[in-house]
Amino acid sequence: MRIVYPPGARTEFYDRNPIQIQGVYEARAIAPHAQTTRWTYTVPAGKKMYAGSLFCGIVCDTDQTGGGECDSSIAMTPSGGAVGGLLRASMAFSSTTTGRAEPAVGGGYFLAGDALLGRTEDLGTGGTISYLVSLQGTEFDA
Amino acid sequence: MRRRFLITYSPGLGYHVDLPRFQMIPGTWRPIIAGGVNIPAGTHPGTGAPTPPSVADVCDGNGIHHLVQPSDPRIAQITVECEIPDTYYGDDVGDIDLDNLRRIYAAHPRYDRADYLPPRPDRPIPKPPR
Repeated sequence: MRIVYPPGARTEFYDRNPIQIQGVYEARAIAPHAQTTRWTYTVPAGKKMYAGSLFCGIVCDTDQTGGGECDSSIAMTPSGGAVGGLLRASMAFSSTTTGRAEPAVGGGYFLAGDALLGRTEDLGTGGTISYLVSLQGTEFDA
Repeated sequence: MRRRFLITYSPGLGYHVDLPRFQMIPGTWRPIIAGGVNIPAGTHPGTGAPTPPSVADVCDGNGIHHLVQPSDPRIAQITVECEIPDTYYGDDVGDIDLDNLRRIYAAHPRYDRADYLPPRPDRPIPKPPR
């Protein structure tokens, strides 16, 4: 069967000058550190973005010697708004026997000016964590 | 395109690069400032055993220790290597093309403001003498 778009009709979003969008922070054995934005993606003017996959996860590689929360997260800053969290994988105290957290969600449309941020932090003492914070999406003409 | 930028700080974003799109390369924070953060003795939160005092780095290759204040002068010159869209540049070696950046993010409440200035790409850090 042949599908024909009538004159004047818009094609599907994934056919409107699509661009693959990726934001990734994947690193192993990271020492304690303050909150850090590892990547940012802001939707350009005249575009929209469909996020097919948002993921954040942490794995404890070596035990902390002093307690402190460690996490990876994805946050959003809507155009003209304030930053707010979307996803978070966290541990109050990391130990190799218990340390693994992996929330994930797929989907979501973002408008021009919206920003997504991938963040990590480890507020403990000693120990190391492996992080994966990622975005895969498709940017297209609005 | 990879470039090295000065980091900046804000309460919501923590340490970051003040650009609309970037991706930090793990292990590229420079300069590394070894030691300088004194961790007092405490107790292990899992076992309750006492832990001796220790010393952590102000900045290792992947970030700044959380016990260092953002206003600490030791972190004012820390840079990180980032992957940045090629379209931000007017040429292969120059600074960010601000007019082009404003065109890409037209009407954005931050990146299309007259008072927004992108961070200058840092020049290569000279190698220490042998």
